[in-house]
Amino acid sequence: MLPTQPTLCEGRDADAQIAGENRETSEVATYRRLRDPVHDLIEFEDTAFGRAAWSLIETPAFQRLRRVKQLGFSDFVYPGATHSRFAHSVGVFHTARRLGLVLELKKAAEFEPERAETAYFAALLHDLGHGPFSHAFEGALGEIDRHEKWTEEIIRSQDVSAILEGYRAGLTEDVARIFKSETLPDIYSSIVSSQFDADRLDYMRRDRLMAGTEGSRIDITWLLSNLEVCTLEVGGDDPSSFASVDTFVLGPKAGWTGEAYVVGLFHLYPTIYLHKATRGAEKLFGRMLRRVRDLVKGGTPEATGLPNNHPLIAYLNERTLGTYLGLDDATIWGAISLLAQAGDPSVKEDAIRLRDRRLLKAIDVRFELSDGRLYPGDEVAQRQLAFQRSLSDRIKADPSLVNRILIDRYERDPYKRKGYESPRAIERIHVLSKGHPVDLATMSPVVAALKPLQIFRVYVAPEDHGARELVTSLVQEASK
Amino acid sequence: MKMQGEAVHEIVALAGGRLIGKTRLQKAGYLLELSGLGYGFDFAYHHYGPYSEELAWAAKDATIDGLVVEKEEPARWGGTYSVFRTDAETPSGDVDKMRADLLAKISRANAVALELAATAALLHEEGVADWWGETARRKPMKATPELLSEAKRFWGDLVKLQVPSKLPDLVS
Repeated sequence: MLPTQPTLCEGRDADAQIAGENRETSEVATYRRLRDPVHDLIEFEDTAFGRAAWSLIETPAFQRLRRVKQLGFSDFVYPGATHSRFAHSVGVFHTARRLGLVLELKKAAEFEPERAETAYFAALLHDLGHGPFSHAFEGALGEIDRHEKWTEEIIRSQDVSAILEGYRAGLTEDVARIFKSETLPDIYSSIVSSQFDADRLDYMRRDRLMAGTEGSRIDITWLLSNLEVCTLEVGGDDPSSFASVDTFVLGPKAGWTGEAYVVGLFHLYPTIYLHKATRGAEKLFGRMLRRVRDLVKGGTPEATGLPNNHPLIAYLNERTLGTYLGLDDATIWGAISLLAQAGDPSVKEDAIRLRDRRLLKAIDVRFELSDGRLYPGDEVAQRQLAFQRSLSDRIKADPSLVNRILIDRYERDPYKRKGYESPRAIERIHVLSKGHPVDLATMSPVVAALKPLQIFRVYVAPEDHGARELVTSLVQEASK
Repeated sequence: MKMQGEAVHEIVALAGGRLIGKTRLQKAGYLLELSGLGYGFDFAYHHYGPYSEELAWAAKDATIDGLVVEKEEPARWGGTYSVFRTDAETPSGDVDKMRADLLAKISRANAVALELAATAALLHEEGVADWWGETARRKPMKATPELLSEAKRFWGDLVKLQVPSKLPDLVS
């Protein structure tokens, strides 16, 4: 007998449901159209809603997303992965509306169009706060997840807010609240924050398509046509629950699809997002950015090679929304030839390396310490810790090593059964089995067996033989 | 400063040898820092309020080292939660006694109320004027009137403790 949760689920039999693009098309005229490599035709209908959405796309803050790549440096590895956050954001909007159609079917007379529209607008605007090279930029400047606050501020800014308020009074606050708060306890917020939210459903498909990888394909049609709505208990990192939340679950015929979805999402990490060359470029960029920041802070911005009115200098001098919006990938790439002529040798070297793709060399410490399996055993964790401690001692003795040996440590749990480590109220996936939602990890031994992926790599300059030899010797020492 | 894994080991030992939840460990680490009893971890606002990536890694390192044992237990709501344990002897200096008093209250607190209180404290530190209101806005599902009251009661109790850096009065 499978363990289930006492619950309330809504909806008709899965076979009777048709979601998204297969649904009968409306007779409302089209106002604007876009072609998209993932979704094909994306239409904005000639309604107040469609016009408002299009007006938001036309704001400078949204247009800026054309100049922010979705995957930062991934095109160093996958040349096709140059897609922008603009394309992704429009794709998320489109996907959100498809999820909304699922809800409309499930909720029938109880469907609340106004709340759904709030979620659609939030989906469209969710990435407004991303800066150049997103996470690498934030990490280097010690501003982890700062883009979420910028998103909220941009939504409240005059340009965006005027359109939202023009559509419906109070909409700015309703949309901003979605970014400010943890998951809201209603099903409409599942469109923007759940295991099957529009963001994830778009980036999974877009990133694999643009990167050109053949793995990680998900069956989106079957997934959407088998979504159900259930009320589930949620808890934190604690034995007891604190609330109930309406969320999407999979119908009984989508267990395999759910399993493939979890494994597919996970595989994007080692293959694309955590690729050693991409992470190495991010580390290099981070080192350059930190040095530029220190020079600006130290009162010698001219040593960066950039003019004083360059947007990056302006931002580092004064971190305001105005200066932040002046930054994007193009600002940085446009400055790379100037940075490559910097008076400061470190900035100069890193800029040349990035410009010419002469990256640092990765040493995969975990792999070197292991017997070569994809998931090394616990003995590697102990060796890795021994390596870290030895390296830390060496860095204390020779502080120059901090910038010569760049460390990359990351862990990704493919399937979280815990009630934390995520902004989503529920990270687990449930599948309806005999009328009750069952955790996918209970139904699928494949999902249950998934282990966290850990990386521990260091990066050194190819010509820095001293640093490389040190790492090699520490690896050998830790392996004993 | 102690090795970071050792700091986690000490926190768990001073909490009575058992601490429920990674989020509780994070909030404990933050409140120790705020009280002037900390181990030098840096905290910033993350999904669940005050969070230190250094502390999260330190907890992993402490388990690898065998200083603490982390076990995932099934929760009544269907997911899992972590329990940290150690059999080590409790350190007994003056500072350790103050840490133990603080950790005893943290260990007994309702997990959500603790998260709400620690979040309000962080927001207060960041200069947010309406720290409870802002906490409620950020955590609408958790900040029920009952749990907010419990968080305030918990904080009122906490500020009575003798600590090197007096905790801010967030409730009067």
